[in-house]
Amino acid sequence: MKINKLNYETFVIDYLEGQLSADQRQAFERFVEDHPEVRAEMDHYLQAPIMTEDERVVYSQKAKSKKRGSVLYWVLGGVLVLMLGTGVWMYSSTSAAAPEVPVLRPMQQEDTRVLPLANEDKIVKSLESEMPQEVVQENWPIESRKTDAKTAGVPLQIAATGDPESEKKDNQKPAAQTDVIDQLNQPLYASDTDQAEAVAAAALLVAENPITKTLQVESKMMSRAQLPAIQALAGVSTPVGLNEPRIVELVTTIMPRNKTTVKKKSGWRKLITPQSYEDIDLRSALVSQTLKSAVEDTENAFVPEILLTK
Amino acid sequence: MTRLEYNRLIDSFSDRLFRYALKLTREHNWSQDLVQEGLAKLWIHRAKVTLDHAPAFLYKVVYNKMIDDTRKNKRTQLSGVVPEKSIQASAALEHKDILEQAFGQLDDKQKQIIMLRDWQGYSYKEIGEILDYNESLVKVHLFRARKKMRAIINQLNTIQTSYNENQ
Repeated sequence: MKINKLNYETFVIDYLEGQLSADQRQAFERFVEDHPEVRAEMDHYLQAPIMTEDERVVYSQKAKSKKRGSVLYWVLGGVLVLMLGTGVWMYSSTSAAAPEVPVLRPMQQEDTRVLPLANEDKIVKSLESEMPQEVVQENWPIESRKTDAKTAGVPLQIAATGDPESEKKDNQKPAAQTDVIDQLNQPLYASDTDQAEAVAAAALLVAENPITKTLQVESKMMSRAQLPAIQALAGVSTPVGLNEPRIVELVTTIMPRNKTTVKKKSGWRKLITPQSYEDIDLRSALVSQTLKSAVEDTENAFVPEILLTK
Repeated sequence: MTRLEYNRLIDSFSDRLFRYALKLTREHNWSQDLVQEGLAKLWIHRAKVTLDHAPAFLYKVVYNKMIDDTRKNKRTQLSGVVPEKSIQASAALEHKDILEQAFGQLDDKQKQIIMLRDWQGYSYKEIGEILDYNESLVKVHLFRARKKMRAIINQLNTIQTSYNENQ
């Protein structure tokens, strides 16, 4: 292409930026030599300032021009929020109206060992009224009991009925203690002497001086019928329980395991049977040498007149 | 182009686009309308316009819109044509003012080419795509624009010198 006055502007920038080929460059340079005014124009071009921005000028409508989420999205979002809110409200309202679901707890065995002392007198009286009228006294006279007791080798301080000295001693005892003695001397079952033995054994256990006087445990195991008597005999204000470790240990060590049968037909039997230690049979303690030894050590201790064994 | 990209482009590019429009129109409100129009069209055609080509698209839309407005006489005149006497009247000019005066003497095509070249750093080809020119024509316009600017600056400097001497 021949460079002339009509097309030279097309080559100026390329020439200045070195974009022309060698032939074009030579041709352009020859044209410039022939036209000095073009050289001046080129100088003006090179001397022209570079335009810069005035960054202080800003577009103030950016926020309006920006696009937010679609209206559909907003509507769907609103509906979703509304549904969630409704669900939460319904849940809360139904939860408030619904009856409280009882919390299932594991069944607890009734703690029958707890013995309200305030009602014990009534309980004893009611139980005594239910006792059968059959007595062993006729079949087992007092004299026989004494003989049997001596035969058994158990030194007892006997307050036998009809013995003047004993009666005198009895009169000197507190009224409550007399009542207990009377209770313990009540006629026993003629047909079930084991019960009498059990009552006696329980009384001996509690009356045994080294044990009972040092025990201050609450009675939860002792039979209801024996409790007042035990309290009086032991001379302790706090009822003594058979679950007391020392008593339990004593009873269990002397207890033949083959005599652990518990009869349930009799209310009296229930009274003297430990309720949580059903394998402990006080009848076994009655004939135990260990028990005898314990009693012998406390001969001076008050022991009611009871039949220990037949 | 996603909505997020569109909004980010507004943050990063709308100021320059507004200055571009303001350089062409010399009217603030008109420039804002042009920018809004350009952004609105970009949003409409966001599926076809990539983020890289969005600035060129906006330049072109703004320029075409300005031309349309001018043709419909919605705007009185392009401010690019500055009367010669105004140059004489404002004799006490700073260098920056002289540049602005010289730039204002250019026609719209020349202004656009200079802005696109100096501000945006576009190549001649890219400028040609925006203005629907071929590359050679862009170079010719650019050469003429700079030559003209230099001539005007020289003229203004002469006026300034004589003004100062008279003072």
